[in-house]
Amino acid sequence: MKRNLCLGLTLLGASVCCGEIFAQPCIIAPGKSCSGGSNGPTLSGPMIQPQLMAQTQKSCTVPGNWTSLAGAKVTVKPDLSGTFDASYCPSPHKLAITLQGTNSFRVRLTWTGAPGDCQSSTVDMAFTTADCNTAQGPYRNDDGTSGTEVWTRSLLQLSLTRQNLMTFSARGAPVGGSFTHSSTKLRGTNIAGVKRATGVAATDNPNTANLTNPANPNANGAPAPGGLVRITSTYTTRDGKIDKSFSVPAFGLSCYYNALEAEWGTPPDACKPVTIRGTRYSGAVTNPNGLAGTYCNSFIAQVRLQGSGLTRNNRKIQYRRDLGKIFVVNEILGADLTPVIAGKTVARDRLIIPKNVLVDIDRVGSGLIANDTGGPNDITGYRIDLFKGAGSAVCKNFNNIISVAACNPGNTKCPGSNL
Amino acid sequence: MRVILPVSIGAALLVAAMLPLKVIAESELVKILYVKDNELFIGSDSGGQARQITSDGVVKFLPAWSKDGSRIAFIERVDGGRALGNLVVINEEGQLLSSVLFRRAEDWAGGMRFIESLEWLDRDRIALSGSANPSLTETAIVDLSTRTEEGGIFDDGPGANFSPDGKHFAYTSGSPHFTPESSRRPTLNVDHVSVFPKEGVHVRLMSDRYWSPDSSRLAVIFEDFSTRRQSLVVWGSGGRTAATALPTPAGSESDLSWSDGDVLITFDHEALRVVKGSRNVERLAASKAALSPLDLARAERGRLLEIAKGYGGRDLDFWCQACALNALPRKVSTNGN
Repeated sequence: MKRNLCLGLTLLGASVCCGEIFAQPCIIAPGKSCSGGSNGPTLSGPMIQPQLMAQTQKSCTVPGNWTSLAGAKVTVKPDLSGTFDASYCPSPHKLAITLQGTNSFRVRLTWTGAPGDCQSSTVDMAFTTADCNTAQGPYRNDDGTSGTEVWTRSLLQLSLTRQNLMTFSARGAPVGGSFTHSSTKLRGTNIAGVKRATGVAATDNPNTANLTNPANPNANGAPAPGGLVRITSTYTTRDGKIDKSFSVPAFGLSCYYNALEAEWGTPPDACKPVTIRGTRYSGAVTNPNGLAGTYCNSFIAQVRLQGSGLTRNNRKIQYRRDLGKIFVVNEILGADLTPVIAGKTVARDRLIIPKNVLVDIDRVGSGLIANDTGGPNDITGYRIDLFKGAGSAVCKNFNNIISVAACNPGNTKCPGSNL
Repeated sequence: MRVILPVSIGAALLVAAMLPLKVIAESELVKILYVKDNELFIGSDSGGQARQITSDGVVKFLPAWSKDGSRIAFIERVDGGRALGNLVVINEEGQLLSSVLFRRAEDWAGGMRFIESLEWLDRDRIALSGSANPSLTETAIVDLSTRTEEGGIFDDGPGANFSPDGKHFAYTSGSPHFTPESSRRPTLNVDHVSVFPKEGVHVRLMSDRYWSPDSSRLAVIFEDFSTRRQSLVVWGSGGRTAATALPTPAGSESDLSWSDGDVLITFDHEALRVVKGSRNVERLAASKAALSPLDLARAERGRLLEIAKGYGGRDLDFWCQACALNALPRKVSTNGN
């Protein structure tokens, strides 16, 4: 296959390569052969400090990975040898560098493949940016053709995107690397895990991964605390590795309810008794604590104990301990003094989820309202109690799972799902 | 009192096959009890090979040594939701001593949702606790000898505290759920009797409740809701309650303990000693109060938890004849505390 060396001339949109005019631009590149080629000598000078001074007097180093103007992968080892791997050549050139003064270096590319495929070349480069990540200079192929070469240091890049509560994607650059994902406990007990999505290989780029919910360790399914985890994605290439992290909370769930009149029998003769704090409540009571009507004593005791309830005719009632009275209310207020909503209100630790925050919880729901709380030792840390309404039946068969969650707005202890 | 029905014949099959792999030597002071693959094992702090004491495959949790270390109580899971659990007591050889079905499904309403802790009170009584809602916890006392249950001991907090001799219990009432702070009236109760504050006075509970080692006194810090002044309140078994004003407000990080009849309140940088029988409050360097019996017990428990990792089990409990651990209640819970 004949390879054309571009002269870098463009005539009315066409390129002139090796004396021929092409409608499409042709590649300007060192080491590329027009016809034939020669194996030039390798300039592997003596080992000296592989550092150069850029124009800003910053100390620049040549070793590392670079990309040439034409997309060749350039690898420079600490001893200033290396390879120049261009797609227009069937195999890489050998590379040797000689430092020139404080800001420049000479590159000798040696072609060892079949004559005519590519050729050897010499490039005189100088650092052109203060960050030492760009070098530029003239090249001269051994057949006398020449042009300008630019090298850009290959910088590893990794970006993370959260698709949804349980899925995120890592994208790495330059391409050709592989991904790993790991988790590290930051707080709490039971934390989320991470694994690559089904069918995704380590080298797939972008690399999709799923968060996994921890199992409830309690053998009887009693509520268990969750925790905060740092998820780290690492992208590894020939240039090295780079990682990025984000934090994910998981909350241990439970379900709670308030008193339901129908659950305590029918007054006056069919009331179900209950013993609370050493006192047995049975039979019926009329106008208890200022609440008009006749009720089972046990139901009223439950309202006083649990603070609120729902009557047989769907009236919401709330007990005021300071006044010793039970009131009919339009809405039952949670600890944050806003109405509680069955299936939406959650009780939480305000140190983890402050006021005016909505919570998304995997397998439970999104936009849950954190407007209730619990005792100082009950709902603490990464625990959430979901209010489901009145009567024990609403929580029947509720699984006390531990689930990945996100807060909106997020904070350091309960981050949001945006990365 | 509620009479507990005898457990089904199936539970009697719990009489487990002994699998004696090693006999715990007298010199091994700390016995380690744990669950692995649904069976109970006994190891030791020497890290030697553990001995399996059950082998029936039934899911077990919350195993706890009795106070004298001769018996083990635990809960068996009851399938089908018929009850919150089956309270079982065995000896060290795995022989069944007692089994009672606890809290049948029809008795659930308004009470504990799960069994979340188990505590030995004395030779024949065991307390089982679980939360009813985010701020309310019910405790029930099961009497193994009479097969009866006293339930309905509700605490507006993590559950009733029992005195070391198991004869008294304390809890807080007056803070029903869905009640704003201004409407609450927290009240300390001992043995179902309100002891602090007087009716109508609004206080806030600022510490856990701590029993003295001889079970004769109970200490807790309260804050006056209006003045924000804090007091150490000590209840005595004679029924008298005394409040001592504190010069330094206690915070969430403060810790109470008993020392020779005095109460130590430890803060970050200092400690207060409330002298027994007087209203005197002495300031101490925090380092002087650092080695309370509770601190030592927690440190010892931490050491044992590390050792027990080698066994790979869950639901750990430790027992020793005479060591720092004895300052802690014989209580196990599902949250690992």
